[in-house]
Amino acid sequence: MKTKMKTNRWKLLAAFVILTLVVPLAAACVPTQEPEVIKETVVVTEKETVEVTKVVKEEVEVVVTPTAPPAPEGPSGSVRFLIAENFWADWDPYQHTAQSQGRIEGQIFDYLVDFPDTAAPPVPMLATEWKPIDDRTWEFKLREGVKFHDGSTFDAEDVKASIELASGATDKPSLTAGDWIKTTVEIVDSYTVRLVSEKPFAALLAQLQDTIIVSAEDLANNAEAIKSQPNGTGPFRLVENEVDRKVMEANLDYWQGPPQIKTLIWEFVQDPDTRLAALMAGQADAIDRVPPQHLRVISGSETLKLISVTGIESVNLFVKPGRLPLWDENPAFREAVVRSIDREGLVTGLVQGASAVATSFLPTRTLYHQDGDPAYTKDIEAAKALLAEAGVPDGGPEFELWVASGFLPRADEVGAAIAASMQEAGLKPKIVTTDLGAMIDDIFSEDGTGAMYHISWSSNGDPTPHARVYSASFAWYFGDEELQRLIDLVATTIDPAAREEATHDLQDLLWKQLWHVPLYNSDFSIAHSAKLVGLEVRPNFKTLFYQASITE
Amino acid sequence: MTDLATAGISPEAVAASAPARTHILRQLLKRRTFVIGAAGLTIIVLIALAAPFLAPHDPMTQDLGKGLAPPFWAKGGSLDHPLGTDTLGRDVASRLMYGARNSLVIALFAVLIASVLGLVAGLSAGFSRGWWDPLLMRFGDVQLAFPFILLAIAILGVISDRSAVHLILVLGIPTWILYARVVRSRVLAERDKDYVLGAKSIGASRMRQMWRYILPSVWSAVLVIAMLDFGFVILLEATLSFLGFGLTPPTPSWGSILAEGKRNMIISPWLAVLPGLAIMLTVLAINMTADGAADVLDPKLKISVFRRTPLKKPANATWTDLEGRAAASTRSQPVATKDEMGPPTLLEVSDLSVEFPLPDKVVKAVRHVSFDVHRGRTLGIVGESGSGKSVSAFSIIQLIEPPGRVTSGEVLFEGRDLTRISNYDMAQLRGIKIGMIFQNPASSLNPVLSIGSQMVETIRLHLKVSPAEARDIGSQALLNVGIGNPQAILSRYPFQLSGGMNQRVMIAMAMLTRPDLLIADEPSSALDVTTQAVVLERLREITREHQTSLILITHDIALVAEFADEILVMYAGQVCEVGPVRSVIDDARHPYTRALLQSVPRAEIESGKRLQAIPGEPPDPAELPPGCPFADRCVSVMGICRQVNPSQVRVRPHHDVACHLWSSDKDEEKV
Amino acid sequence: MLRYSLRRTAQMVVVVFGVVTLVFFILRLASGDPARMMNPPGQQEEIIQLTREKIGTDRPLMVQYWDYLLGLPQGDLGKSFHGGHPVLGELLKVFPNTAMLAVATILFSSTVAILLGIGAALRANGAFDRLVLVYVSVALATPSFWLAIVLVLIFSVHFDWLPAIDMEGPKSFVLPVLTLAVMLTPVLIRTVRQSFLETLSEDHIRAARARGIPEHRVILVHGLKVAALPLVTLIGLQLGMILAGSYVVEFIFNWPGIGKLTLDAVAGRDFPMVQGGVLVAALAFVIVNFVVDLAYAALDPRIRMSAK
Repeated sequence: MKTKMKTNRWKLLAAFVILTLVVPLAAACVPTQEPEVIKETVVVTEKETVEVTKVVKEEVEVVVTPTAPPAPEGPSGSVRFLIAENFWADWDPYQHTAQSQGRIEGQIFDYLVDFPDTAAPPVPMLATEWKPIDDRTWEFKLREGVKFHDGSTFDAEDVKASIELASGATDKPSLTAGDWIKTTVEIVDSYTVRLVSEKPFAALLAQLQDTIIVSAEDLANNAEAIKSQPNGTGPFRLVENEVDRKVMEANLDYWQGPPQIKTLIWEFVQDPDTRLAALMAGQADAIDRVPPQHLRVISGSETLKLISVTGIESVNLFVKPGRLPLWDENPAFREAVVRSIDREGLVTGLVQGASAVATSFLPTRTLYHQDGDPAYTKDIEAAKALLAEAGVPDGGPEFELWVASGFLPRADEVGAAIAASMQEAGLKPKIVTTDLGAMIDDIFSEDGTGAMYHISWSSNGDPTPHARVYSASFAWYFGDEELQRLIDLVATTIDPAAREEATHDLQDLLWKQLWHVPLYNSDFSIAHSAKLVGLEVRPNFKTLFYQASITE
Repeated sequence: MTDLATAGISPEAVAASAPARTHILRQLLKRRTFVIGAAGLTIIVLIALAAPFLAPHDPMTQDLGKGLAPPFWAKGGSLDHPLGTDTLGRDVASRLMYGARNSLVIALFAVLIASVLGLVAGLSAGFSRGWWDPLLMRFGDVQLAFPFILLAIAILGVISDRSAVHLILVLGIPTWILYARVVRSRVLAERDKDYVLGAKSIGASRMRQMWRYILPSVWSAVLVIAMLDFGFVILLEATLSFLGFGLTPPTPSWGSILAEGKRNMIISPWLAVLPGLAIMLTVLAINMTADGAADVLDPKLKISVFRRTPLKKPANATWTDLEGRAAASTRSQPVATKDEMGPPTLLEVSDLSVEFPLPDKVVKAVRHVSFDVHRGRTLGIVGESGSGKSVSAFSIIQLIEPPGRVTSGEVLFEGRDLTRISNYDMAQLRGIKIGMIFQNPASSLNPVLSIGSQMVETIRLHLKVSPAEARDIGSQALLNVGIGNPQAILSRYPFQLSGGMNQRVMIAMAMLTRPDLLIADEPSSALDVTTQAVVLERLREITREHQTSLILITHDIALVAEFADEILVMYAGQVCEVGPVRSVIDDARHPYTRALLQSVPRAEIESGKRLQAIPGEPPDPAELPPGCPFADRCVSVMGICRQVNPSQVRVRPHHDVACHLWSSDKDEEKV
Repeated sequence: MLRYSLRRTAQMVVVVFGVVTLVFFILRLASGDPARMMNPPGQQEEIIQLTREKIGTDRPLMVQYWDYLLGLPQGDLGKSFHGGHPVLGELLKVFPNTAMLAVATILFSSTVAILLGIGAALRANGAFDRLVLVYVSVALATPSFWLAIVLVLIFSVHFDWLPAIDMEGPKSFVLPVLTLAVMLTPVLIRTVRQSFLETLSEDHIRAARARGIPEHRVILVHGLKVAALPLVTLIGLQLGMILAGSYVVEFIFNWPGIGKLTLDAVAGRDFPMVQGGVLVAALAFVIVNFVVDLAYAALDPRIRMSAK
């Protein structure tokens, strides 16, 4: 077909093609209202604010780094924090055990006391003073002039309602009760209370840092409403409550003074690459749980900052009693397994960051932590000798080592590395990689086939909540009565010296028996844009935005 | 393609013409896409099979110190690990090779399961006469509506130790529906055939008959679908691995390597890019193989992306430059206008040849055909299907579709050579000076437009009138062809009218512009006998009325005897005999013409003679014998007939014959 | 027409019902205990039991099923296990986002496919045709999630031209739509091309040319009108493919749509949310196909007339 037809058809075709290409391109070029990205920061002298113009790659950039305290115009800016864990729960107080929920509650609620350093004594928060009355009773003086978000005043009634509900001392059961020894509250006056526990509760103060204080009025009359509309005394109030996204706004009447951020958004984004891409593209200001493979990229970037701490989290291979009889009965076998693993290699080669080899079954930053002896460093020859001593020079039976892909950082690779390492000693592990749900199912199923599970357990820094996981209430208990006795002792010994000794004894026992395979303490890394300052990241996974501010 | 069909060649025949398997292989090898695809696939399979020998390292050996080393061409890479290492220091190249095995094997078995399931399901559904068929199809609908990924995740996510078997089952089972549908429709189509419907029950022999027809069509469809499914399953396995539900580590599969690469994409992008490339190339190779094979194995599936490529491509659309004849034409007279009574010879066709080049052969549809059409007269072209009569007619108005093309000759219409003019100029003539009506009236009209809109379109093309005026003109035209209620007809659609009606509509449309020449290609063949007569009568009246020349193409010599002024008899693309109708009918010289006359009952010719069919079949237009094409069926065949193709000889006034019987007996006046 | 509609509606209900039931039972029988997922591994049994009571999985399976079915006609799709949000409310909130993505993708892919398909068919085996077919083959072979990541790496992280995640403004549509389009267009282009080739080789096209109708009209009016009919059914096919692809694409781009919601719910064993997401997807698929079939019947006079 020639000439005229050709011209007509091609013209038409060209027109359509241009339309299809131009329209989306035009849309893409429409400028959005995103703020300009500051590409370089310039260190400025202390006293003055300086405007520096730098020509970089044909772009002229104006850089201002104020060092004077921010002008008191009120909270400004919006911070978007992408978290790594589902928001499992609703806002019903004490009815969940979700870490993500606990972390966000810390923005909206306050606690009686706070532990900025888990190894040091606590500092006042909603309580101003406290003293022990006897070994089961503590007396607290409460702060005056604190208001809840709805305007009502905070007083002793609220403390009573909160503590009793949290510790399981009321009719309504709470999921947090497992961490408590039942405690009732006596009101001495409007701002003085006494907490009376059934038994001496050594971890009480530590527990208080995780127990939000809610309004007695709400618990009595608004029980349904507060499941979706929390009412706390904290620096932020909740304004939007979606499944994956929570939006908070500054509480201008906060008793410590309003925060510097106006809008705080927490959003669940499952995929770490997506989180990082968002941060790098300027669509997020902070991201949670940076995996090891991203650490290098972030620390190499000039616009991003990394905060890495060693988390109060033990990552072990937890062994389910009864699944591998040889393990249950034979300490030499257990030690052989532990000795076959290169824990140092895992930490430096795989998990990286601020992670550290476990030297005890309590994480390093736990109160009264003690390094275990021997160190059980990798020693294949010793492992083989132990296997021979255990009566299984050929390595013993095949057993399943379960790893939840994507749950803990580099879980797949850690599992593979451990298995390969064990195989060097002649052991016969079979790696099973699956997702978290399937792993949990297998743990509790009667037909479960797994022997070892790559799991973590975290706590707030006090030995009792951590040691609980090895106790009879949990699935990992091998029936040793001495262990339970020591755990109970640590829980109820108030005298610090005596408690420390008991805690050491506990660690000694665990370390010697090796009922589980200790691996490492996790790295906890948060990355944020350089524009965000003042973010507080703690080893017990609390992420606090109260002191934070964001520059535009 | 309809032109091939007109030339007597069905696409199926072209594609599956060979009875032997080897011929299929040869056909496959002729297709470039198949060759490239199959070659690529073979290389990949060989690498996978030879992995234990080719792989530089053990795919499981870890070296935690050398994690995430880059490929050898990047900084920090070495030839020791040519494609780099993964997080555990395992060699990527080796893992890719071993991964190929796993991925390919899983896909292969998944496809096998799916095809077997689909085959069984489709057959059972097709043969069932009760509730099973609808139930199965509804189940298939449910399955289609269910997001497959969720199903896979739900099942795989629960299995803690995912082995190849699990993946094969999960990937293979859901795709059964693809095969089942096609198989079922083939079975149903066969069941609808007369020989099955006629029987009261399907006895054993009829079953066997059905199988004979169903089996080949089914197996080829299944094979092609399986090939495409294969690539699809590989992609699916990669996606599942990406989401974390593939083979459990440390077993390598491309999907799991990609998933791991994705986790480290920002710092070591090659770890994701390389398996992605491997997947892409493999699936590409598979798809190319499938496409090339689909053409050969099962053209009815019409899945082929790459169409058959002709051996020689024409330079522009339809016409090639004629060697040595470009400047030869001396007949460049001005085109006569309609009002002048131009020269009596309206159309002169000289030495026209048309051929269709196909990938494996060349079909010579028309060979050195010459004829004239005089003003106001009717030329009847007679021949059996495949004789080239329709192709000749189409070529007059440039309606031959590529790859067909004119290779010699000229077509002079009112002095202009129609083979040389541009398409634009041709379009000026078509529908205005030269009209054409076709064999199958219903399919010659646009099925989704009403009669009225099609007529109005044609009218307004040539006349500046409003739509309302055009409708009036159209009504009038319909009345002229004997349609009594034109208004009603205008608003109908072609499928609502009878064949005879449609044909009359076509005639009306063709005659709207009072063309000088009307070509009627088998105008009545698709009609019943009584309608035939009516339509042809109408045709004759109209052409007489407007002094329109008519080329009447038909296989029915009796028809031509009654309606034509001149007859042209064609066989195997050649002219056998041409001349005035009475001369040819009463004194037929060519053995073929005689045989035709003897095989058809007609009133004109003496009755009482016995009908005789012509034994044998026309030669394959792609493989024509050197001599006279009719030689094998000719009762008067001589030795020379098989060696030399006879040229035309004049035997009576205006009456020529191409036959050796007459070339030495009479005065040779070569035409 | 009415009888046909009724019959189809009944079929649709059956299909959706089948899908919902299938999901319900697969999730519960295959997956184990969501209450355990919501607590740290190894948590005490009493706490797990409390959690079960809270989300309602302590009841017998058939009771849960019956309850769920009863709620459906009333619009109660249950409450999310995580945080008690009403499932229907959450789905409705995010549904428009997926719908917009789907519409944008369908528009873009259809346009591209029609242009490329027709262009290729007109000059079959020409240079343009080959180029188009090369694209088709490569696109068919490309894993979508991989492409998405590569696009993000190039255009968001490296060049910073386009956003990496979220749905905010027209710019954010570009990469997700592009990724989905690469998935969709190969099949579409092939179908358009095939349909056009077939139509162009039909008798009436040749007859139209014989009547002197100019070539561009032959192609664009006569050809397109007939060839376009199968394209209408392609919309249904496209939607199915988008729904399937949306899980991965929404996951990577953090697109707040049904796909992301469902995938997050699967990982977290939030059964009511998974059921809701699947229900919505199945409904959308089935309804759109129904509408498409009706449209096809309306457009093709052959079907329209015979239905009277």
